[in-house]
Amino acid sequence: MKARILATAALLAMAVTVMPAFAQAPVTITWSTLATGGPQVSDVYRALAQQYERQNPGVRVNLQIQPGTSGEQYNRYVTLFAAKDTSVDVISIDVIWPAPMVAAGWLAPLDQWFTREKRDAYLPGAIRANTIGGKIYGVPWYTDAGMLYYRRDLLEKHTARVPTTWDELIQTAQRIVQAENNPQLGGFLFQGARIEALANFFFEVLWSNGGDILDGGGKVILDNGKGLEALNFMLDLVRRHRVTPPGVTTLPTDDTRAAFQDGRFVFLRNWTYAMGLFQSEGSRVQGRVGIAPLPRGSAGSASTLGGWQLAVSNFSRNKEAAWRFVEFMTGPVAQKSMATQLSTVPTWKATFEDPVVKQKAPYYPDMLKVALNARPRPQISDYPRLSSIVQTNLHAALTNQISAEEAINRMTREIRSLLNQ
Amino acid sequence: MAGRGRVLRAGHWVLIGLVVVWSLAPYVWTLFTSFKTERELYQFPVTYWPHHPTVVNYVQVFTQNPFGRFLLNSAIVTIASTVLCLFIASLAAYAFARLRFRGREILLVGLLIVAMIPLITVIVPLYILVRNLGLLNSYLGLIAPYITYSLPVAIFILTAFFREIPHELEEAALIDGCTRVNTLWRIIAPLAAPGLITAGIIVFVYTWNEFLVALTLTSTTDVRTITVGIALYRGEFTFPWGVISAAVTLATIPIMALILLGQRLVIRGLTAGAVKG
Amino acid sequence: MAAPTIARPSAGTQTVRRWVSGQLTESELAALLILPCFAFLAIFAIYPIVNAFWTALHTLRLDQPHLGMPFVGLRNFAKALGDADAWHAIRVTLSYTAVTVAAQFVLGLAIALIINRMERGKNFVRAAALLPWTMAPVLAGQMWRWLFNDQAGVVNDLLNRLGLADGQIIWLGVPGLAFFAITVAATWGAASYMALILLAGLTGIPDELYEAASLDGASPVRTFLAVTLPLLRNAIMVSLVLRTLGALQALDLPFAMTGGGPGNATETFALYIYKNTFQFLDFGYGAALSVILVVIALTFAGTYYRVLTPRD
Repeated sequence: MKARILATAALLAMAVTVMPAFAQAPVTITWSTLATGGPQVSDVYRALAQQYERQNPGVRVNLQIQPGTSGEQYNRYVTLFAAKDTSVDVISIDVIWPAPMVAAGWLAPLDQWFTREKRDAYLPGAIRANTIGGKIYGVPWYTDAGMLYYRRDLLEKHTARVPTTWDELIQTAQRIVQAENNPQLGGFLFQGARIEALANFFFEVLWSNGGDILDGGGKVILDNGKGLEALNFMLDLVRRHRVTPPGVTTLPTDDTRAAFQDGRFVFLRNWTYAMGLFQSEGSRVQGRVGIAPLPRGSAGSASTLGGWQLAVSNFSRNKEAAWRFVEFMTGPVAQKSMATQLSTVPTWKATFEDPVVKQKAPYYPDMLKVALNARPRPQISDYPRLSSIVQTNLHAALTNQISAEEAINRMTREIRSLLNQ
Repeated sequence: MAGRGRVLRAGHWVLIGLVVVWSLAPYVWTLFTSFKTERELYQFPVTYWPHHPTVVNYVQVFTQNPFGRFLLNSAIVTIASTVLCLFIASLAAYAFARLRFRGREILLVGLLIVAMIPLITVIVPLYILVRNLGLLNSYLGLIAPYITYSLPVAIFILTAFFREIPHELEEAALIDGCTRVNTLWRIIAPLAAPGLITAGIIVFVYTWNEFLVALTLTSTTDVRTITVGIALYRGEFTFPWGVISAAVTLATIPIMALILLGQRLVIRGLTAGAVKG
Repeated sequence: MAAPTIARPSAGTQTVRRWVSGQLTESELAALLILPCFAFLAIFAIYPIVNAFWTALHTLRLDQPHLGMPFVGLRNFAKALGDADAWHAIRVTLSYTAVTVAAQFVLGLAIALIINRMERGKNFVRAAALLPWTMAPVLAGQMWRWLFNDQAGVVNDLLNRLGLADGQIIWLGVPGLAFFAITVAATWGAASYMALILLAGLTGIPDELYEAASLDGASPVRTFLAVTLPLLRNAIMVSLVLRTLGALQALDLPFAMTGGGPGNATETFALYIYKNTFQFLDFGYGAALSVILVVIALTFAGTYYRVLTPRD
């Protein structure tokens, strides 16, 4: 009898001491992300994660830095989510991933926490890119857009204005190249390898002419003449105006950045990341680079929206806790930290006005102008396939395997077939 | 007549030189690249010997990532996979080469299928399997799949070499009272040394260079292998040639050493056990 | 009184006893030897592969989960038959395989013969010759892409310096040249793989045969054809089969060097499978394509086997 009372007392005592621990069992949020740009980037992320942990005792952030390119990151997510893995809570996603990932049911909708009010603090284009079917699935983290880089020193030397139309760009490039009489200097460079950026530049030219792949209702309108016009323009850059070298078809993004940084081009179309490198120690073009929106076509200037967002995995077991971390990581504190220490362009509008940020990156206002006007790519769940069709045919035309007409025809046909039109 | 011999020998040395140059030239270029500054890398026209040599790339190799740890992980996983795979494959190869049994052809075809299936096709079910076994982010979680997918290659090579060994030697030993298994170790293995080295090197290099499985089944730095680790230096757009060249150069040294050492060890180890006479 | 029963040992115990005393039948011994191998394969290969083959018979589009995973029989295969891009990729892979395996075989054999004749420094030269293969194809592809760069690449620079070319050849921007560039890169990497196997085979050829041949007055070429080649048959078959399998699966190298371009001139079948599986998320179709690849490989292997197997 006594033994049983003692045993019960012991059990109760144990329960009482153990229970608080259960009440405060630490929640672990696992965040999988690329760290684009080396250790200083992952250091900043880590510092922010630790700051969050300090402000939220009881939460631990497990930071998983993934190697490689965004393509490899995507493969990893595909594997994880195809296996319905619950080990990852927060993920960084590229701007073109929401559509396929939402279609696959991999992202948790955030509407209940990410209210309209909160969304207003972010760049509108980026918010749109995360909204699929009326619901929002990601929070803009940092943004990106295609822009025109130019050699301020060369333009000044030859008293040329920053070109605002495509024709001006060609003429200015030709004039400067001829005047400089330097066989190593080229006019204008874009990403011509068979990569996403090639399709993006095509979109930019196409949009600036008033054309598009799909109309507002989702119908394919690539063959309305504007598509051919845009492709012919790109081909003319190489063949007729000769401002772009034929070797452009072998150049992926960073090679074009390196070529411009080496001083070999007057103009460059590239993403925002390049500016930080142009301004770095040892850069041949340090202090000599300006940023402008891409030239206008008949319908204005257009830019492709890029950038990364934070999302919550639909298989996460701690969705609300994950959301709170996402809110912090995309909030003003984190955005300012990243803007001042890294070269990423914030998505929190107020960050652009911060004096510290303005001092560190005086070119941010220029970038903001471009980013505000950037357009998202077709937000269909089959975007990867659409992009592949566009890339392959563009590249085939640029490398003289097929004519421009044939390329546009094939693209139109295949995209129509893809979308069952 | 002696002159002709000398010409032939000189010719032989020229050919050897060509082989060495052809094999090593890109590595030498990588070595030079690893000492160049970022600026000089993209310079045109191309420079070979760095004009302003710097070790900043090598510093970055170690400060950006736990490079030494990656090398250690690769070494552990690769050596374990190779040794175990060779052992298991030798047993199976002996059976294929010497014994008659039902299902021999089917098993061979099965091995071929395993060798042929693209890893991208099986990576998702493999991931699920390894996860369910609780082996994610572990050495064993990498070693077991590597052994499995190296077995077909190893078995093919070893079977071919076992077949080369004349039956008489074995029969003599069997008559002398050795068991089958004994003959495997005492007689066949030493004679199959070239085959074992070959299979061993192939499995070793395949495992060392393997990317997709290592990338998928590990997500933490304490088990990350060197091939995946070198990919860490890349950014979303940037490809830091200088740092990666330094990393590749550093990663090549252990491999070269291991191959040189491995060759010598295996030969010595096996010939020591050879039956004399 | 009950008669004492003599327990007969079970079949299992009998087998163990026979094993211990080395008297197993051939089949039993074979089973025992293959057991460890089979265990690994059963767990880590059979399940994933069966899963993949099973998936090929279903529709499984991860970007359209509302479709579920219905059984569709051979529909994915029928789709492949009508897929022009798939046929193109198969053609690319077949030409790639034929050219690279031939080049690697010739070069590998040459390297093996050269090294085989060496006495001093053999280990070093063999290790040096092996080194190209130790560079991961992912990295080698990037390196060769840089080497073949039209502006800053070493290949163009050397060609210009040697006077063999004038101006910048855009290697990776012209289909034929890009194909050639990939072949060079692949051969650099894998010729040593061939050489390794062939060298092992050469080592097994007894010197007496060479001496006998030279005593008979045979020229080096005749010796090679009459003595070396026949005895190398096993090694040749193994190296050809393995290299062909490797070439059929070529993904990392073309992907890193050209991404499948220009256009899709270097888009190998494995690359196409990768695109469909991981980029387009069509796992059912990707699995069906993989099965087709396996069938192609089996056909190659079967042909090699029939042509090259010595009559035992």
